[in-house]
Amino acid sequence: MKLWLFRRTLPLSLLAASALGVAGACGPAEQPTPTATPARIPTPTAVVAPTPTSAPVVAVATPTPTRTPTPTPVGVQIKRGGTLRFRIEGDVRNMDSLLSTAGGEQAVMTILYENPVRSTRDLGLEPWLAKSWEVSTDGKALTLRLQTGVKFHDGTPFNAAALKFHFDRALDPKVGSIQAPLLQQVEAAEVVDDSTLRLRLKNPDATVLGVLADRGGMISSPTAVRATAKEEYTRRPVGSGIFKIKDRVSDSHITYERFPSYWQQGLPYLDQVTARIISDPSVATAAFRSGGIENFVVPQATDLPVLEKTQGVNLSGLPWPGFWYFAVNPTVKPFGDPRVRKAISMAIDRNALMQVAYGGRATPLYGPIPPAFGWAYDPAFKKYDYNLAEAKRLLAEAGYPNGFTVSPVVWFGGAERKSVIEAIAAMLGQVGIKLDLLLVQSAVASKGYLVDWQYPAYYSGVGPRPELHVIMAEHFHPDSPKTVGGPAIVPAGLREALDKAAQTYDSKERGALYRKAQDIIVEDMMRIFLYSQTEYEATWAYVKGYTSHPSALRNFAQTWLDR
Amino acid sequence: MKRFLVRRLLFYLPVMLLVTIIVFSLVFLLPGDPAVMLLGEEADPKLLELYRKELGLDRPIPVQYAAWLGGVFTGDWGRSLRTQEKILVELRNRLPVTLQLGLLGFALSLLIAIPIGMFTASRPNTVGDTAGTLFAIGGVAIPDFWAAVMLIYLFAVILGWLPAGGYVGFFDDPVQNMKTMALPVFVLGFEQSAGVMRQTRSSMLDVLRQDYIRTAHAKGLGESVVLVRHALKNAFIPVLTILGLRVAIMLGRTAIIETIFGLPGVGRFAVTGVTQLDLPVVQGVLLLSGTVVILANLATDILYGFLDPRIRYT
Repeated sequence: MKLWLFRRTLPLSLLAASALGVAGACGPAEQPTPTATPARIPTPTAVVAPTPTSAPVVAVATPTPTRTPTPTPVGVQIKRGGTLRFRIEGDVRNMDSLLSTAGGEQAVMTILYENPVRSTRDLGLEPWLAKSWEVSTDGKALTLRLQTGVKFHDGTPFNAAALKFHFDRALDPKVGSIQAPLLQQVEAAEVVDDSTLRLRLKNPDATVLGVLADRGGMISSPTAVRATAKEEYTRRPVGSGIFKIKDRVSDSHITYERFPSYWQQGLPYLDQVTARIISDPSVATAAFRSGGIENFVVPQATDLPVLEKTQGVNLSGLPWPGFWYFAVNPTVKPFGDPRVRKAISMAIDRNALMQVAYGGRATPLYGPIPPAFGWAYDPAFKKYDYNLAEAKRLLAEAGYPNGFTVSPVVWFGGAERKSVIEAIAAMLGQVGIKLDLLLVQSAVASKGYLVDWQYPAYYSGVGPRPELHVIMAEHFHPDSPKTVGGPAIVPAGLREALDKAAQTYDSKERGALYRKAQDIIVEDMMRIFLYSQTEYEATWAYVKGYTSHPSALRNFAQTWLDR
Repeated sequence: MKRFLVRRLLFYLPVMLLVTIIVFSLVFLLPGDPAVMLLGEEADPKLLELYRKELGLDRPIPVQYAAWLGGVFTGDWGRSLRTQEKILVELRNRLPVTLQLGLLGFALSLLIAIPIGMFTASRPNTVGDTAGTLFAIGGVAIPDFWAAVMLIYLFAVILGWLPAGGYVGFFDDPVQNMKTMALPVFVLGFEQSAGVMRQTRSSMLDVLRQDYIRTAHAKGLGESVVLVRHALKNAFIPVLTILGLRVAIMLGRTAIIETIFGLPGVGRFAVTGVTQLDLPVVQGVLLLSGTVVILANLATDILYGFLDPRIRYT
């Protein structure tokens, strides 16, 4: 029974709020409306009548949507129309959500697709096409109640059958979706009625909802999928989102136009959205500054001072959902000794490192939980912090008073990463550990270290991942192929903590379990955690009704251009 | 003339075949695994095997070559692993962009280089000569990626006259098309002009020393007539050789310029093909480039024949 999941699972933060102890109610999830009512947390009221199944059902309160973009204050005249342009770094390969594998593809898919659940600003969850959901007491049945009146861009209605088609396709080995391993606990999807779908799970798994908030939950029109050849569909998919694809020019742009039959009347305000493909980061910044694009994620930290000073630019901080680390191979001497690993952690001054690499725009990390996950992150966790004397003492105790040489230390990347790894080498030099740096191609490096366990040391990062479970399990769970050293080196209690977290719907409990796992990981110093940086999204001030999301999942539902 | 042409063509056919063999084998020298590139490093190994089979990467290389070559002749150049689009369709869509960039850049380089070359040759070792030479050498010495970004900042951000990258088709909006192409064409033309200029200058200097030039002056012909009507035509043969080579070099430079300015051309296609290990794309672009270079050389050969009657009859 494999409970760890490769990639994407999303913590169900707000589910906790009312839930488990109380046979609680499901206050009706508020529909995001175009007016400016702020979100309210529903208070538990009545008990929900059990649905006609043999297993008693416990209603789990569905969180209230909080990720509606900042609505326009009442009284301001909204101007309809116009085109909003944002930047993406490179052209995308697959826009079929179930076949998409590359990181950049979410940014263009999120414009035209919708999901049963959505990711919130602190990387929690909120209901969307699934108005509410319930979990059976044995945890093996998850019932989704769906929004009605939703249509796909080709007119096909969205209903339980369409969602079932989506699940069947995701799990079909002939389709070969990478979402399949993430949904491996789903045995079958059953249509209960037109707007109710029940997922039968092999084992309790709270991470399924998280998968549905990302690519795994972007729903395609079954009619379009059946009628179009695979290669053609992936270029022009059909979703139910606010915009639909208008045209695409390879390596130039993707243009979307307003979907007039969108289920929320009156939205969107914009006529068109264009994703402009600009590879060169300096050109991207120039394009923004000259008004060629309205929004982009600032690619170079060196551009920030200029943008901060420019009139009419709104900068929004995006905490990066991932972490950067320095890894030493526990199967290679002397790294099998945890004292040596701890000494390395204590020889590194992370605050100084931040100044070197990001001009201070990053958070030092001592464990795998990044600050982006507000519901699990503990800012007070600082184990094995910078302490040069203690580092030297530990090394001497382990038998290396004069340090040793590590060769090769494999890394890949550009100027920022270079300055970080060189700073680390200088810091470790102070305790006598000499690093022989070797720059290689990324695929070679990651395969060589994570898969073949070939190199003694490695500097890289994990992320962005909108699901904390993936971050925690991918490199640390005993069953994961990327846990360097294999299950033998994984400390006791970690498997249990991670597996239990994957089954917990309550986000407070879950957060505590991940913090427990973090403690185990750091006490064994399975990786030396370094930092998580803050990226910035820049938008011109005349763009109203737009809020950033840490994974740059742009939502232009209520956006309008004030000019 | 006809025999000359036929002989040239027959010579180039085996060259083309050799080009296809080299093109095909080169891509296998690229490090990395295309299936991993497609699916990501973290993909299931079974899925990777499935993809390798689907892409035909598990067949022996000569078999893959034969299949590919057969496809080339029937118009099936394969599909991009990345975009799923047919390679020929992509190339057809992108060729106008690169053609416009290449032709205009080429024309600009000639417009800059030949007058400056003639001017500096007619005034050797003067201030004018040095200035002209410096100007052209600047084009070579200044890295194009730096110049491109600097020009974008000047014209797009500071002055706001031109857009910062992007492309609009000529038939969609001619004015905007000219605006988007202005900087790329300038950068390309400027950097290519130096080589042509130097060659023009040195072969002009040789020619200007000849007796018949002195005769022309003695006859009382004006400076410009002597230069253009008598000297240039004779000086042009070595320059023509350079131009043939320039086509090949410029194909390479378009890759960088298109990437920086965000033009959806063939060069950019090649760059992303290589970095993403999109083998069919790399093969397709290399084949196209090889053909273009061979055609350019063929054109050069024919032009020699026109310029110099002595060559035609050998």
